[in-house]
Amino acid sequence: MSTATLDGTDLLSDAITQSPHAYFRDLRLSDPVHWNSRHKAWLVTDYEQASNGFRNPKLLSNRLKRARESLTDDQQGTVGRTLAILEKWMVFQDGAEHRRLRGVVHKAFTPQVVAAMEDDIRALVRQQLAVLRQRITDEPDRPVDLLNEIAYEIPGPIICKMLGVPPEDRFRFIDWTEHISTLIGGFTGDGDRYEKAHAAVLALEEYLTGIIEASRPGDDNLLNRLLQAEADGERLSRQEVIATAILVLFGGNRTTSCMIANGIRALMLHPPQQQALREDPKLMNAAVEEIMRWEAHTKFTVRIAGEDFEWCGRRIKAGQRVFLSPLSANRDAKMFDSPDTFDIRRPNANRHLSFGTGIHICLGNPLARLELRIMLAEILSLLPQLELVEPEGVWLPTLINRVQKRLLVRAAR
Amino acid sequence: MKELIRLVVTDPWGDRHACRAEAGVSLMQAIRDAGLDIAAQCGGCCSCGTCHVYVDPMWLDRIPPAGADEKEILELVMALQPGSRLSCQIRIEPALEGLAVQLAPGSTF
Repeated sequence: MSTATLDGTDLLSDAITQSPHAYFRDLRLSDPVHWNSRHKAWLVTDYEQASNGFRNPKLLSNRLKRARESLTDDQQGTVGRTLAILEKWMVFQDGAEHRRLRGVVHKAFTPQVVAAMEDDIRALVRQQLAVLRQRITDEPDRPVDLLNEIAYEIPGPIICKMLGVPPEDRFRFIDWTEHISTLIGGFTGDGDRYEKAHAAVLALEEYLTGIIEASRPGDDNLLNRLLQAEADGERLSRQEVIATAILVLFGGNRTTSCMIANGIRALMLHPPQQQALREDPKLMNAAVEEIMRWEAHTKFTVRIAGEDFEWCGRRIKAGQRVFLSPLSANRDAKMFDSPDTFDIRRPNANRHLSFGTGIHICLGNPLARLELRIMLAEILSLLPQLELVEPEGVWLPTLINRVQKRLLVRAAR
Repeated sequence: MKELIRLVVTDPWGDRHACRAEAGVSLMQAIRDAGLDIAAQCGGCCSCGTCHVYVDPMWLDRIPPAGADEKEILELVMALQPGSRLSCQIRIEPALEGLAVQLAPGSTF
């Protein structure tokens, strides 16, 4: 690819959505900080530059501000208000504001808190796998959607418990978080996405206000920690409490189930690696890291240039969008030998950027890793009895996450 | 040629590794450059606590004390001890010749 040629590649085209790696490989080799004119964004594709980008304070995280400011006066009171609430998510904050919000939430995601969830996760995984076993026994020819019917039912109840909302209520807010996901995740093809997200945020605000009014101060959960920080004064406003609770419900749900599905698919596509893991369960941690490297669940993380600066010979201007790509960086041959090979013994797989790096590194990553480890350990013995219905997978056209539409399996013939 | 400072890093399994690092890099980077497995997920931004080390007691007074941000993150790590520090916040300098640290639980995968 010539760097002089204007690149109008549609990152949401079916071809790039289903097979993004060839496009990214070309960019890594020819132009690691590359202007894509269609998306009006700099694509940062190699490992070193993406890693630098995540840690560069000149790149800011509030990517909703520009969208909010471009709304009409009529929209400011509705959609504008919703965007203003979502802007309070710590993932869209920078500097001291970010540190203040993150400090409160970090306390709820310590290694100790996450480890205490292990028994709950295992019980839930076993329950879901019993459902799967029953289905393939009773109806061996009828595909089961491992993503939406099995994996999706694991992170939701766990994050509800950590936050302090009744797990059965998740059915009420799943649609709401999906509507927010459509807005935040850069999906296309939904003209009503702003309005749907606005309605979802209003509904979640009302729901969480009710939960907060009924909460018991003695319970040790994230919501109470947030409220305590609010009560301490200056640390959190009520709107920040609600915005953060929405973020946790949103972040802990769809993304983790997609990671689980990606992991199961990766192992099903590589039977010898699967067998090695069965023979040596000590490889599990390394296998989980390799899954996250090889099949990154993050396509792009969006940043906004806060000032003009030079980067790899390119002139980045204040206000321009920068798309950092973990999906591409994880396949950089300068960082990972034979990067397209799935190898659970890869010594440096844990250097992947799937959770980002820098001050915004995903706070929920220890929980997501634990859920993935438990799910894979429990499903390993069942995998030889399953086969993929769509080995290539069906990927959704989104800029932010690399997520599948479904993961269909059936009893192996 | 730049002067290299000698460090001794003990991994969580008790094996000792002799390393050499240039002055100016962080201890976290020196450990990573020596090929040891250190999570250091945030890459040295004092944000994750996964570069947690125990500094040998005889060295504790010889390195600059932890700042407010580091203390805040240290409150959240597993198995906090009196010698606990975030290795991304310790700058290697000639005065640290022979520094001995151990990787804490949670700082490797």
